[in-house]
Amino acid sequence: MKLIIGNKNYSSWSLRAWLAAREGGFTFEEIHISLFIPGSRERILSHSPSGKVPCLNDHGVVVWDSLAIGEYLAEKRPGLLPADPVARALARSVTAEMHSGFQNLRSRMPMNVRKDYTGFGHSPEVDADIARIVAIWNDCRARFGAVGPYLFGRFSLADAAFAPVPSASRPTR
Amino acid sequence: MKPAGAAGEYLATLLANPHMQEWATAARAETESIPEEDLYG
Repeated sequence: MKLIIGNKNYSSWSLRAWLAAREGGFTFEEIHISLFIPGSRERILSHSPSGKVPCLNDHGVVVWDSLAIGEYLAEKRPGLLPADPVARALARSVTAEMHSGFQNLRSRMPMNVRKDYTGFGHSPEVDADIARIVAIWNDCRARFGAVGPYLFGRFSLADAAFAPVPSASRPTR
Repeated sequence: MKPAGAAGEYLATLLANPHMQEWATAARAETESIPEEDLYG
Protein backbone atom coordinates (compact mmCIF):
# COMPACT_ATOMS: atom_id res chain seq x y z
CA MET A 1 0.00 0.00 0.00
CA LYS A 2 1.30 3.45 -0.94
CA LEU A 3 0.00 6.83 0.20
CA ILE A 4 0.92 9.82 -1.88
CA ILE A 5 0.98 12.99 0.19
CA GLY A 6 2.07 16.60 -0.04
CA ASN A 7 4.12 18.75 2.29
CA LYS A 8 3.43 17.76 5.88
CA ASN A 9 3.64 21.39 6.95
CA TYR A 10 0.87 22.51 4.67
CA SER A 11 -1.23 19.65 3.35
CA SER A 12 -4.16 19.21 5.70
CA TRP A 13 -5.83 16.80 3.30
CA SER A 14 -2.73 14.63 3.36
CA LEU A 15 -2.75 14.65 7.16
CA ARG A 16 -6.33 13.38 7.27
CA ALA A 17 -5.62 10.37 5.05
CA TRP A 18 -2.26 9.64 6.64
CA LEU A 19 -3.66 9.77 10.16
CA ALA A 20 -6.55 7.47 9.27
CA ALA A 21 -4.08 5.01 7.79
CA ARG A 22 -1.78 5.15 10.79
CA GLU A 23 -4.57 4.91 13.34
CA GLY A 24 -6.05 2.05 11.34
CA GLY A 25 -2.80 0.16 11.77
CA PHE A 26 -2.01 -0.06 8.08
CA THR A 27 1.51 -0.58 6.83
CA PHE A 28 2.14 1.72 3.91
CA GLU A 29 4.84 3.48 1.99
CA GLU A 30 4.72 7.27 2.02
CA ILE A 31 5.44 9.00 -1.24
CA HIS A 32 6.10 12.69 -0.63
CA ILE A 33 5.55 15.23 -3.37
CA SER A 34 6.43 18.84 -2.65
CA LEU A 35 3.56 21.04 -3.73
CA PHE A 36 3.66 24.18 -5.84
CA ILE A 37 7.10 23.67 -7.32
CA PRO A 38 7.95 23.00 -10.95
CA GLY A 39 7.02 19.45 -11.80
CA SER A 40 4.70 18.96 -8.83
CA ARG A 41 1.58 18.51 -10.88
CA GLU A 42 3.21 16.06 -13.25
CA ARG A 43 4.52 13.99 -10.35
CA ILE A 44 1.12 13.95 -8.67
CA LEU A 45 -0.62 13.04 -11.93
CA SER A 46 1.69 10.07 -12.29
CA HIS A 47 -0.04 8.67 -9.19
CA SER A 48 -3.37 10.45 -8.84
CA PRO A 49 -5.85 10.93 -11.69
CA SER A 50 -7.30 13.99 -9.97
CA GLY A 51 -3.93 15.69 -9.92
CA LYS A 52 -4.31 16.19 -6.19
CA VAL A 53 -3.04 14.63 -3.00
CA PRO A 54 -3.65 12.55 -1.05
CA CYS A 55 -3.99 9.46 -3.17
CA LEU A 56 -3.89 5.85 -2.03
CA ASN A 57 -2.63 2.97 -4.13
CA ASP A 58 -3.51 -0.36 -2.59
CA HIS A 59 -1.84 -2.89 -4.85
CA GLY A 60 -3.30 -1.24 -7.93
CA VAL A 61 -6.54 -0.02 -6.40
CA VAL A 62 -6.24 3.75 -6.69
CA VAL A 63 -8.36 5.86 -4.35
CA TRP A 64 -8.13 9.64 -4.23
CA ASP A 65 -9.65 12.33 -2.04
CA SER A 66 -9.23 12.05 1.72
CA LEU A 67 -12.92 11.29 2.29
CA ALA A 68 -12.88 8.38 -0.16
CA ILE A 69 -9.57 7.15 1.20
CA GLY A 70 -10.97 7.17 4.73
CA GLU A 71 -14.03 5.22 3.69
CA TYR A 72 -11.86 2.73 1.79
CA LEU A 73 -9.65 2.21 4.82
CA ALA A 74 -12.69 1.85 7.08
CA GLU A 75 -14.00 -0.94 4.87
CA LYS A 76 -10.78 -2.80 5.54
CA ARG A 77 -10.62 -1.81 9.21
CA PRO A 78 -14.18 -1.23 10.42
CA GLY A 79 -12.89 0.14 13.72
CA LEU A 80 -12.22 3.41 11.93
CA LEU A 81 -15.95 4.11 12.15
CA PRO A 82 -18.19 3.65 15.20
CA ALA A 83 -19.93 0.28 15.38
CA ASP A 84 -23.23 1.76 16.51
CA PRO A 85 -25.30 2.81 13.46
CA VAL A 86 -26.45 6.08 15.02
CA ALA A 87 -22.94 7.04 16.05
CA ARG A 88 -21.64 5.94 12.66
CA ALA A 89 -24.18 8.13 10.86
CA LEU A 90 -23.21 11.13 12.94
CA ALA A 91 -19.51 10.40 12.45
CA ARG A 92 -20.03 10.38 8.71
CA SER A 93 -22.08 13.58 8.91
CA VAL A 94 -19.51 15.60 10.83
CA THR A 95 -16.71 14.17 8.68
CA ALA A 96 -18.56 15.27 5.56
CA GLU A 97 -19.29 18.68 7.07
CA MET A 98 -15.60 19.16 7.79
CA HIS A 99 -14.74 17.92 4.32
CA SER A 100 -17.04 20.28 2.42
CA GLY A 101 -17.51 23.18 4.80
CA PHE A 102 -15.67 25.75 6.85
CA GLN A 103 -14.32 27.58 3.81
CA ASN A 104 -13.71 30.75 5.81
CA LEU A 105 -11.56 28.91 8.30
CA ARG A 106 -9.70 27.09 5.55
CA SER A 107 -8.90 30.24 3.60
CA ARG A 108 -7.94 32.46 6.54
CA MET A 109 -6.33 29.83 8.77
CA PRO A 110 -4.82 27.13 6.56
CA MET A 111 -2.79 24.46 8.29
CA ASN A 112 0.77 25.59 8.88
CA VAL A 113 2.57 23.57 11.51
CA ARG A 114 5.77 25.63 11.48
CA LYS A 115 4.22 29.05 11.88
CA ASP A 116 2.60 30.52 14.95
CA TYR A 117 -0.13 32.77 13.63
CA THR A 118 -1.91 33.18 16.92
CA GLY A 119 -4.34 36.05 16.62
CA PHE A 120 -4.19 36.21 12.82
CA GLY A 121 -6.99 35.40 10.44
CA HIS A 122 -9.99 36.08 12.61
CA SER A 123 -13.17 37.49 11.13
CA PRO A 124 -16.80 37.08 12.12
CA GLU A 125 -17.12 34.35 9.50
CA VAL A 126 -14.01 32.50 10.69
CA ASP A 127 -15.12 32.77 14.29
CA ALA A 128 -18.50 31.36 13.30
CA ASP A 129 -16.75 28.38 11.70
CA ILE A 130 -14.73 27.83 14.86
CA ALA A 131 -17.86 28.09 17.00
CA ARG A 132 -19.55 25.46 14.85
CA ILE A 133 -16.56 23.12 15.20
CA VAL A 134 -16.53 23.55 18.96
CA ALA A 135 -20.25 22.82 19.05
CA ILE A 136 -19.69 19.61 17.06
CA TRP A 137 -16.94 18.53 19.40
CA ASN A 138 -19.00 19.24 22.51
CA ASP A 139 -22.03 17.42 21.11
CA CYS A 140 -20.10 14.33 20.04
CA ARG A 141 -18.18 14.14 23.28
CA ALA A 142 -21.36 14.50 25.32
CA ARG A 143 -23.23 11.85 23.38
CA PHE A 144 -20.56 9.30 22.51
CA GLY A 145 -17.43 10.10 24.48
CA ALA A 146 -17.97 7.89 27.48
CA VAL A 147 -15.80 5.04 26.22
CA GLY A 148 -12.75 7.04 25.21
CA PRO A 149 -11.22 10.46 24.62
CA TYR A 150 -12.11 10.89 20.96
CA LEU A 151 -15.27 12.28 19.38
CA PHE A 152 -16.95 8.88 19.34
CA GLY A 153 -14.89 7.34 22.11
CA ARG A 154 -12.38 5.43 20.03
CA PHE A 155 -10.47 7.14 17.24
CA SER A 156 -12.53 7.37 14.06
CA LEU A 157 -12.50 9.03 10.65
CA ALA A 158 -14.20 12.00 12.29
CA ASP A 159 -11.09 12.63 14.37
CA ALA A 160 -8.93 12.41 11.27
CA ALA A 161 -11.18 14.98 9.59
CA PHE A 162 -10.71 17.48 12.40
CA ALA A 163 -7.03 16.74 12.96
CA PRO A 164 -5.72 19.79 11.04
CA VAL A 165 -7.86 22.22 13.03
CA PRO A 166 -5.41 22.56 15.95
CA SER A 167 -2.57 23.35 13.56
CA ALA A 168 -4.74 25.79 11.65
CA SER A 169 -6.27 27.71 14.51
CA ARG A 170 -3.15 27.31 16.63
CA PRO A 171 -4.39 26.95 20.20
CA THR A 172 -0.92 26.46 21.60
CA ARG A 173 2.52 25.24 20.70
CA MET B 1 -8.81 28.60 19.60
CA LYS B 2 -8.88 27.54 23.24
CA PRO B 3 -12.27 26.00 23.83
CA ALA B 4 -13.32 25.22 27.36
CA GLY B 5 -14.79 22.05 28.75
CA ALA B 6 -15.23 18.91 26.69
CA ALA B 7 -14.09 20.54 23.45
CA GLY B 8 -10.93 21.76 25.14
CA GLU B 9 -10.20 18.32 26.51
CA TYR B 10 -10.76 16.85 23.07
CA LEU B 11 -8.40 19.38 21.52
CA ALA B 12 -5.74 18.33 24.02
CA THR B 13 -6.34 14.70 23.10
CA LEU B 14 -5.83 15.45 19.41
CA LEU B 15 -2.62 17.35 20.08
CA ALA B 16 -1.28 14.57 22.30
CA ASN B 17 -2.02 11.82 19.80
CA PRO B 18 1.35 10.14 19.07
CA HIS B 19 0.70 9.99 15.35
CA MET B 20 -0.24 13.67 15.31
CA GLN B 21 3.01 14.44 17.10
CA GLU B 22 4.92 12.31 14.61
CA TRP B 23 3.36 14.26 11.75
CA ALA B 24 4.11 17.61 13.40
CA THR B 25 7.73 16.66 14.01
CA ALA B 26 8.14 15.72 10.36
CA ALA B 27 6.38 18.91 9.27
CA ARG B 28 8.74 21.07 11.32
CA ALA B 29 11.70 19.28 9.74
CA GLU B 30 10.60 20.15 6.22
CA THR B 31 12.52 22.94 4.57
CA GLU B 32 10.27 23.87 1.67
CA SER B 33 8.25 27.04 1.98
CA ILE B 34 5.18 27.94 -0.02
CA PRO B 35 4.79 31.73 0.14
CA GLU B 36 1.13 31.54 -0.82
CA GLU B 37 0.48 29.34 2.21
CA ASP B 38 2.49 31.44 4.66
CA LEU B 39 -0.34 33.94 4.76
CA TYR B 40 0.90 36.19 7.51
CA GLY B 41 4.62 36.22 6.92
